[in-house]
Amino acid sequence: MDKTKEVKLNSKINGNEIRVDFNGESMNIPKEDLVTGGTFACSGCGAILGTKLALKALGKDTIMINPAGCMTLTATWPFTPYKVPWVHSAIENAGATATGVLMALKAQDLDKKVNVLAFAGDGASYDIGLQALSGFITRREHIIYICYNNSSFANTGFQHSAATPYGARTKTTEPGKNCPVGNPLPRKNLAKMMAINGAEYVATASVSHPIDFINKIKKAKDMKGPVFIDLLTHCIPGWLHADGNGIQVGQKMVDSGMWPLYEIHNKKVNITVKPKMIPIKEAMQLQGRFKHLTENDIKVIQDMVNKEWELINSGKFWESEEY
Amino acid sequence: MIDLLDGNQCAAIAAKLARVKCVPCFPITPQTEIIETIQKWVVDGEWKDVQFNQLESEHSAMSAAFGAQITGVRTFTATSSQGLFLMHEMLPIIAGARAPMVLVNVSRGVSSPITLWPDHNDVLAMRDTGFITYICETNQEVLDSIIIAYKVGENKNISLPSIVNMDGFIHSYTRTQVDVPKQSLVDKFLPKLKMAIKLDTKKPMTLGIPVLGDYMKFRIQLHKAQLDAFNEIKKVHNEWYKLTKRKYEFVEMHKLKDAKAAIVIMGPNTTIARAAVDNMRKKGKMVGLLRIRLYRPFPEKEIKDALKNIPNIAVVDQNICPGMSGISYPEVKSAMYGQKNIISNYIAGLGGKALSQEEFEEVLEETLNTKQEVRKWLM
Amino acid sequence: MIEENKIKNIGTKGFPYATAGMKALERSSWRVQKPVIDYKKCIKCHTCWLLCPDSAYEIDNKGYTHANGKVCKGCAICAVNCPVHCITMEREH
Repeated sequence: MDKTKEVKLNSKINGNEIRVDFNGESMNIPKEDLVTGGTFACSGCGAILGTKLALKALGKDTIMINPAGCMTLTATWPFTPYKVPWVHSAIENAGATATGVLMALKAQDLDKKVNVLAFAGDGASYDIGLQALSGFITRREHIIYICYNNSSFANTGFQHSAATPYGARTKTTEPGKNCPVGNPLPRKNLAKMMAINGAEYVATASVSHPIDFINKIKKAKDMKGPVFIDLLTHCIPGWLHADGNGIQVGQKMVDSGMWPLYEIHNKKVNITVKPKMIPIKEAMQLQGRFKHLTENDIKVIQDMVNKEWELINSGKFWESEEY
Repeated sequence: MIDLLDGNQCAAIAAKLARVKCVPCFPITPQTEIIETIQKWVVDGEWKDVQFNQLESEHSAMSAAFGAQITGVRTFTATSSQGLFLMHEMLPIIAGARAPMVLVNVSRGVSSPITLWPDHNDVLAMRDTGFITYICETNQEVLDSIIIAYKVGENKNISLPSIVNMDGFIHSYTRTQVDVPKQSLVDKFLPKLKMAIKLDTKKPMTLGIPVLGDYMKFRIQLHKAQLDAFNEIKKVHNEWYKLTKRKYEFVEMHKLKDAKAAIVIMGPNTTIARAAVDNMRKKGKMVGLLRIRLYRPFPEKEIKDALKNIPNIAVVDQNICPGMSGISYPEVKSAMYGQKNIISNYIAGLGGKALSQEEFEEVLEETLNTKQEVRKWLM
Repeated sequence: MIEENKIKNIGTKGFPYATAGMKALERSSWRVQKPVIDYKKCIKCHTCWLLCPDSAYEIDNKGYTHANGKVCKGCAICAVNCPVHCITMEREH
C-alpha cells in the first residue's frame, strides 16, 4: 500500500455517477460512457481519453464536430463508438461547421438545450483551421472548442505543426547536420490568441489532470460565449514514450512548467495547477522526441521555461512567451 | 404578382418563399446583393424565422451550410467564381453526405486575369461534385429553379444538393419582368423538410463517417441518386407547370423539327441566339436551337433525341477547358456518339464579352454550310 | 460487376452514417498483455475506470472494476496509475 498518497476507502456509487479518487482529488463522474471502446485509436492514446472525459462532462445532449485527424478514424463504417450525434466535414472547418450546426439549432429553438462541441486536433486548430476557429470566436457564438494537442499532425505521421514545441523531433523537423535541434521554431500562443480574439473562456488542460479538465468543461458549459480549451494529450508513437506511461508524461510536462495549466475568463487569468518546477530534463527523458537534444539545448529550453514562469508569477502573464 | 426584379433579388425572394431557415454566406461580386437583401429583411423584421450569418470566408460559409443542413434545417447560400472554387472542397463532401441544400452561383469568369463579368467556367468546374445543376436563361427561371431545386433535392430517395446558376451582370444586375408566385402557392408545392439522417440528440448518428474499403458502395449510390433524379425533376417540373403555367424541361428545343443546322447553348445568351434563329428562319434558312437547362444529371437521351436528325451542329460554349475544348462540347458529342452529325465548337462570351445577333447568324450560316468539324472563337 | 440500371440499395442506402450504440469491435487481438486485479488490495478509487482510454472497465454493483476483454488493448495505463498497485499486467499469447 502506498503510504504517501491519501486515498478514501469505500467509494460511494450514486446511481448513474461513480466517485473517483485520483491524485488527492475526488469527483463524482457520470457512469455512462458516450464513447465506447473498440476504436482504431492507438493502445494508450491520450486523445481518445480526452474525448471520453469531455463527453462525460458534457453529457448526452451534445453534438460533436470532428475535423480530419486522429479522432476521425475512431468511427469506421459501419461501426461507431459515439453515442452522441457526430459529424465529420473537412480538416480546416471545425469552427465553421460548428457555426452551421449552431445556426440550425437556433432555428429549431434547441440552442439552449444542446451543447455544440468542436473536437479538433492541434493541426486542425493551430494551422489549417485557424481561420474558422478565429471566425466563430469573433462572432461570439457559444461553441465549446476543444483542441486535443499532441503537438503534431499525428494522423498523417507526426509531422510538425504550429503546436510543436522548440526542440521537438517530428517527421518534418528531423534533427540533422543543418539543424541539430530538430524543431527550430517556437510554438504558437493559441490559447492567449483566442483570449485576445474575444473568447469568453479559455483554458489549457491535460488528460494527466482529468479532474482539473472536467472542472474546466463544467465551467465552459455555463458560459454564454465562445470557449477554447487546449488539451494536452500524450501520444505514444509521436512523442516516443513507453506504453502505459502517458499519464506520467503529462504530469511531468505540467510539473516542470512546460505545459502551464490556467484558465482565462474575460481576460482575467487564474493558474489552476501550480507546477512544482521539477527540472524539464525529467519530463524530456521520458520522451524520445527530445532524445537528440544536447545539454546546452536543454539549458536553453530550461531558461525559456523559467523566464516564462518568472513573468507569470510576477503578474505579467500577458508578456510571457510560451515554450 | 408581376414585378420588375433583377436576378439577385429573384434569388433572395425565392429563398424567402421557400422558407429557408439558415443563410450562412460570404460576399463576392456579383452576388452581394442577394445576401444584402436578405440581411435587410432580417434586421427590419420582414423575414422573421431565419438565421442569417456572414462567415469569414466562402469555405467557412459552405462548411456552415453543411453543418446547418445536416442538422435537419433548410439551408441556402450563394457565391461566384473564386468563391465557388474556394467552396469546392466542401461540395463533394456535401453531395456525398446527401445533404439537400441549394447553392446559387452567380457566374463570373475565373482569375487570372481577374474579371468581374460572367462566363460558365466556374459552375461547370463543379460538374464532378454530385450537385444537381440547373443553368438558367432568365431571372424568372432563377426564381422558379431555386424552389424547384429544393423540392427535387429534398425527396427522400434523391437527397442531393443543387446548384442554380445565373450569369453575373446579365441576370444579377438586370431588371426584367418577373412573376413572383404567392407564398401560399409555394407552401402547397414545397412541404416542410423532414430529414431521416441528421444530427439529432434524440437519435444519435455518426455522419460523414470514414469508410475503409467500402467506399465504392457509397459512390455507386450517389451516382444512382443522380440518375434517379431525372424522373423526379420531370415530375416536379410538371407539378410546377400545373401551378404556374410555366413549363421547364431538361433541354428546350426551338425550331429543331426540320432544321439542317442547330446551335446548342446554355444560359442567357440563348435569348440572343434564339432571335438569330428566328431572323434566319424568316429568310428561309432551316436553323434551330437547343438550350441545355439541366446540366447534371446530364440529359444524354434528350439531347440525342433532339439532335439526331440534324446534320450540322454548333455547340456554343461560354467557357473553355484549356488544352481541350469548351466543356459541354465533349459531353454533347458523347451523347451523339454513333450518329452522323458534324459537331463544331464555338467559344464565345468569355468574361462577359457581349454577343450580338449578327454574330450568332454568322455562326449559323457557317454551320449550315460546313463540311467538317470546326473549332472557332468569337473574339 | 453491376449494370448501371440494375443498381440496388447497398451500404445504408448510400448515406454515409452509422447509428450509435452498435456493438464495439473486438480489439483483443491488439494486446500482448492484460490487466489482472488483486481485489484484496483494491480500494475502489476507480482511477483505472476513469483513465482507461478505451472505456474498457465496467463497474459491478459492489464498486469493483472489471476489464472488458473484448476492447482492452493492454496499454497498461490502469496498472501504472493504480495508487495501491493492485493491477498487474500479465503476458498473453
